[in-house]
Amino acid sequence: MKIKNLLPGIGAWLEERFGFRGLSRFLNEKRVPQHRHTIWYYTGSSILLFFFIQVVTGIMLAFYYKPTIEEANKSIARIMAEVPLGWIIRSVHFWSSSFMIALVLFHMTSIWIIKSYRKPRELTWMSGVFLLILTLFFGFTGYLLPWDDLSLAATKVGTDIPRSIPWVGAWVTKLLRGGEDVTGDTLTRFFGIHITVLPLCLLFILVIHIYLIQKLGMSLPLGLDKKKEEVKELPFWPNFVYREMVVWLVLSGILFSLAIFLPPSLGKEADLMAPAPEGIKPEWYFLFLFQTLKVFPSRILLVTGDTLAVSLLLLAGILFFFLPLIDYRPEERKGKVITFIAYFFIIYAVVMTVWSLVQ
Amino acid sequence: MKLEHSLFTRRQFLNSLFGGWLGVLLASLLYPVIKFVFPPYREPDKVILPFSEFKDVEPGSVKNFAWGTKPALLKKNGDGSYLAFVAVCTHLDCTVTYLPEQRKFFCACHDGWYDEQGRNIKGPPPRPLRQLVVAVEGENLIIKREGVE
Amino acid sequence: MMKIEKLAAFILISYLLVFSIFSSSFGQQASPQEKAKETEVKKAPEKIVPSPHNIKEKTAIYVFLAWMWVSILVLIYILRQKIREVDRLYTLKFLGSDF
Repeated sequence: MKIKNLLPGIGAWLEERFGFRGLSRFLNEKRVPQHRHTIWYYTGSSILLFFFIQVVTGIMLAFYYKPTIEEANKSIARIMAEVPLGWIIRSVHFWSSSFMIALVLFHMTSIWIIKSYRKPRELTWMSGVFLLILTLFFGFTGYLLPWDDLSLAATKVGTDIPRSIPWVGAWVTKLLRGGEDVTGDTLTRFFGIHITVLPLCLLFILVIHIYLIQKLGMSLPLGLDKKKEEVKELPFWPNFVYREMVVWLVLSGILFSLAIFLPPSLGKEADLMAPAPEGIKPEWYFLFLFQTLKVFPSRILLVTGDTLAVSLLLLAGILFFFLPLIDYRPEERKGKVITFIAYFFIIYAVVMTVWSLVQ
Repeated sequence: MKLEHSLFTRRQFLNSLFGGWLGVLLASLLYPVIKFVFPPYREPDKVILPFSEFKDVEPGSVKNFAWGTKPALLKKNGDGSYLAFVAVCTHLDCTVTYLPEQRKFFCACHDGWYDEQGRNIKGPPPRPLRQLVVAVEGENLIIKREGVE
Repeated sequence: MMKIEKLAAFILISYLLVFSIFSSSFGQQASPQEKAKETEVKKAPEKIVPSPHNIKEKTAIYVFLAWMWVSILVLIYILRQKIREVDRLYTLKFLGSDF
């Protein structure tokens, strides 16, 4: 067998057994519409890129991280000081999480504004909401793992918030904490969730999300879907993928540069008995929620400010989840109101975040 | 389209250039990953122990100590001199023990035997036990790797 | 893009970029707890700031970053050439598959 025929030979051997032809035919025929909103199509694959980076760096960190309250902080200090280039791996993991969450927020907001969730893509949106929640949970559980005084305080506050949910609140808090308070059990629980439960759930829902996208095709923005014939299209492979590769290269370059020049530091080991340190803040993607809770008065009529705020947030979340079913007449006035709400939310989130930072 | 005198087409050239450069970039990213996953193992050049803990060792018996991350045994001979061995069996890395009545080192994993000088005499071990250099300096017992000053 | 979408995109991008860059300093600042008068000797450092350990590592990192950006620019250049080529082939309706 000639060397030239080796790869195609192996390909043919595998094809006889796996039968890839259908998949490769699908990929070759897949088309991506070209219009002024095409730029947002790039967010999806970039999220996957950063998730992949998280998995790889996360596995490497898990080789040395020890999830007990005695060892957690020390093991990360060891990763940063002793393990060769450990500080870079940790820094990449830290920055890539921010990049991934930022891209998820971009992705979600763009879909909201161009209303890609219209029939028949409602389930794609709903699975996407689950993916958003899982991603935020990744960030939340990961934040505790260094077990320094800031992450302990942030986790105490963060796991206390669900307590304000009517009826099930205390139960949720106990489930998250592994008891009434944040202890070593919380740490091991968060670590187990971070490296097994969340990745498995994410992969499962991601498969559904991606399947739906391939099955239903790329959506067209409002107005253009009536003029489908006039819309230019690009083949997904290789035209669109080459363009995506350019985006991946630029984003990875920015990621590694930031990771090398702005690595995260490690605070001193948490003390369960110490008072809360000054200036505790959650990660940036939770700041607007943090500030929203702060501005609510401590009591309103018969309920605490917290209960009202959390209930309102939950209600907003539920409405958000069912958005495709609510916005079923997007061209009409209701649809325009919902678009306005999307812009309002962006401005609200930015303003609250800035406010919480300058306080 | 390949010209007669060309080795390859422009497309092949461009694709190989792209693939090759990307491959080198990814390989250069692989280097820190490998360094991270295989941290350097440094054996100590010497270990200093307080002599007071070892002077009560009976002649013809042993006491263990730590040689970096490996177990080691200090043996006091009948004439009062000392021998030190890295107590790692040369067969498959089990920790060996010393049997004073038989004056032999024994590895329980696969029935390996060494004499009191550490030479392998019976069973699967292919080499003698690794020996370390012992010196007593004042209050300290200094144990060194062979060849270290 | 319409004006308001451009504005929304600009706000979103600048917000996410700025706060993801500065979140490292905002999120992890450890505040000194020396309000009390006890002179507790702190054995562990207040905060560990990571950095390359020696000058050899520092130069290696700078060299790597330069090499990485050069590679990214080269690869993007080649990708743009490839994109032009496949776009041209697509408009010519050429459906061969030796990409």
